[in-house]
This record gives sequence, C-alpha cells and structure tokens, in this order.
Amino acid sequence: MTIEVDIQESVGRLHQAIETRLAAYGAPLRWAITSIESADESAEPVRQKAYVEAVVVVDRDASVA
Amino acid sequence: MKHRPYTAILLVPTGVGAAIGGYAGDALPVARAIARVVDRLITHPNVLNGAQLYWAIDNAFYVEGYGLDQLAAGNWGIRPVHQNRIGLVFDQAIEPELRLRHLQAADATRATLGLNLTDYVVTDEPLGVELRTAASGATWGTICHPDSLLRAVDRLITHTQAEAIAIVARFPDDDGSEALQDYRQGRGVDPLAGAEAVISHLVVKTFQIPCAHAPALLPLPLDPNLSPRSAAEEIGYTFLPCVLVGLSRAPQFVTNRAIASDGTIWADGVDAVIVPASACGGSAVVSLASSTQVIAVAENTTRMNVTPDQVGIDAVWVESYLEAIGVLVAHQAGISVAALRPHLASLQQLADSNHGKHLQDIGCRC
Repeated sequence: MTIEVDIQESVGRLHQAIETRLAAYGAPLRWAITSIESADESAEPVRQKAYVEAVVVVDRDASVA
Repeated sequence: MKHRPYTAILLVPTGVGAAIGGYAGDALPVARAIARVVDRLITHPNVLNGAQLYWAIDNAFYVEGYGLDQLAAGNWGIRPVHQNRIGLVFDQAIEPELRLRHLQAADATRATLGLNLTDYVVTDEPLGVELRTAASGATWGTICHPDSLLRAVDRLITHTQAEAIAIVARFPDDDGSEALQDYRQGRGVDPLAGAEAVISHLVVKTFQIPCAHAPALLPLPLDPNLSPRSAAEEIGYTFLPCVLVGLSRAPQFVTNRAIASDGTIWADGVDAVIVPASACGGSAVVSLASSTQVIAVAENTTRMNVTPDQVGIDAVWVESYLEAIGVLVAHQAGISVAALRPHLASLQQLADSNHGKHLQDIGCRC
C-alpha cells in the first residue's frame, strides 16, 4: 500500500506520523519513504509530502496486504 | 581505554536496487571492512547472505529487518548468544528433489560447520509466494497462506525448542524476464528480495525469534555475462548455507527492558548508522536519526529518492564506504571530521534569532 504523510518539523515526529497512519490499516511489517514531493508549489511555505510504501498485516485472517 | 563499545549499524535496504548490496551478498566486503574498525556491527541478512558464500564475522550481529526496525525504534533489544538451535521450515510446494537438495545442504552445515539444527517441518499447505513490484521500483510480495507458515514455525518452537527459524519457500521460476536478465547482469532490482523480507518479517513479528529466508528455485541456464555481484547465487543448488550460518549466532530479541540482562544491546547503545544516501526513508534510519550519527553513502545508489536533508536528518555525507570507514574511526576517537579537512572555519557568535524570545516566553529575565 502507499500513503502520503505531511513532512513534520522533526524526524521523530515524522516516524510517529507514519506509524499512526499505517496503524489504521493494520500492523506494519515494513515501510519506507520512497520519495518526497511538494504538495502545492504555489503555497507559502511549500508543503512537502512523504510518499510511503508499506506492507501491513491485516489482523482478521493474518493475511499480508 | 574505551568507556563503552562502539556500535554501528550497516543498512542496505532489501529490494531497492542498491548498487552495492542489491545482489548476492555483495555488501559483505563492506561489512567485513567496517567490522574491523568498530567494536560491534549490527547488520541484516541482505548484507551478509551470499547464498553458498558467507563470512562469519566475530563482532557482527545478524538481525532480521523487522527486528532491526524494532531495535532502532527502542522497542526491542538484542542479546548476543553463542549458538542457536535452528528449526527449518519447508514450503509444501517444493518438489521432492529440490527439498532433498536443501536437506543435504542443511546436513552439510551440521557435519562441516558444526551447526545445531532440529528436525524440520513441512507446511501443511503450499505457501503460494507471489512477487510484486511497487511504484517506486522496490520489490515486495505476498504469500497466500501465511497461517500455514505460522503453524509450521509454532510446531518447531513448541516441539523442538528451536531458537531460530530458517524458511525455505518455493519461489516462482522465471523463464527469462528482463528483470531477471538485469539482475543477473548486476544492474537491476532483486526480484525476489522484497518478498523474502515480507516472509521473515511476518515470523519475527509473530514470534520475536531470529528468522531468515532462502528461496527454493530451479537452477538457471548458464549465463556467460553473469555479473560477479550476482554470481554467488549460481554456484549451487540452494541459497540456504548463508542463512543457517547467520542464524546460528543471530542474537535473540529482548522485548522487555525491565528484565533484560546486562549484555543486551538497545538503540541508545548505537553510535552510528551507515546507509545509502538515497535510501534514508526506511523505518530504522528514521528512528535512529535523532540520537545517532547517520553516515550517508552517495556512491551506493538505489531506486529510492530520499536523501537525509529531505526528511530532516542531520547526516555526514560521504562519497564511498571507504570514506565512511574514516568517519567511523574519527567518530569513535572523538575527532570532529571537520578537523580532518584543509579548511576549518573560525567560530562565530551565535545569531540572536528567537532564543531571547524563547527565554522570555518561559519567564526568564536577564
């Protein structure tokens, strides 16, 4: 699965934000930010988004999604 | 005299096409070199596994990727061991002859290397491994019957007291895809690695036990243009020996700090992490970045596009692993890397900026 997360003011908060978002889908087995892109180039300050690819386990049948 | 052992983590993410370490254990020379200049090196199967080839490094710890992420996050510790009793799981989908090849390889590690293996278990269903490639170019995969895998592992732990788990799953044969050709010639992404990682991650997450995976495949036709970086996977019938060697001394996971023994290593005992400069978005490096010196290696290119500065990591950039080794030596000697360069800027008074306002906000009057 792929999710987008706003870049946070610290790397620690970014980690927490990603884990929180992924937890809504299941238990993460593996994730990585694969790219950073500007969400809106015209906005001030420019908002950056992290694109995260992840593999999560869905609890109901232990299947890997 | 050292006040504490200097501990480094070497990361080369799996299945992202790393120029060094993206093939058949081809980051092993890097691990061997780094291990000579640190007290403890923590790294993962993708770095140390060279199919039939391996190198037992006395001060290196073989930690599966999910466990490494938990270590980095401060959730788990690792406890060094002298030897693990290894349980072996075979996917039911493996043909009898191919399974026998693997069993003979396992027996060879007992007789020739002295490893300690338990009796093996065959899964009660074919695992059904499927390979996938994500939008970024990274590889991953799924298994159709994860429950069957977990039952097999549970049997080994319960009935043979296995302390580490080696899994051999039948992976789909490739009849000559472009991705395979590229990989064999040392320029593509490992099409199997991402799925292998998912399998071992699931077991480590569920049982908190060391685990690694070897794919079972039929031999490929001879390729005269085979890259040296991929060649280790084409010199035998199985990829299992390196996995068994790694697991035989893989540290055990400790999930409760309150009852951990003195020798347990936690994230706060890690001094440096070495990672490809374009792959700084993984969970482990993001976890460690605020407390550990990150060394970003530019030369080890990957399919990822996440540099330290993009995610707010204050890293030391180096061009090569040779340079990274120099940074590690300087760091543990307490020498600023800047002092080793020809131009050293003079100290400047800290800009006033918002610090005074901050003090006022919290009630200080100077």
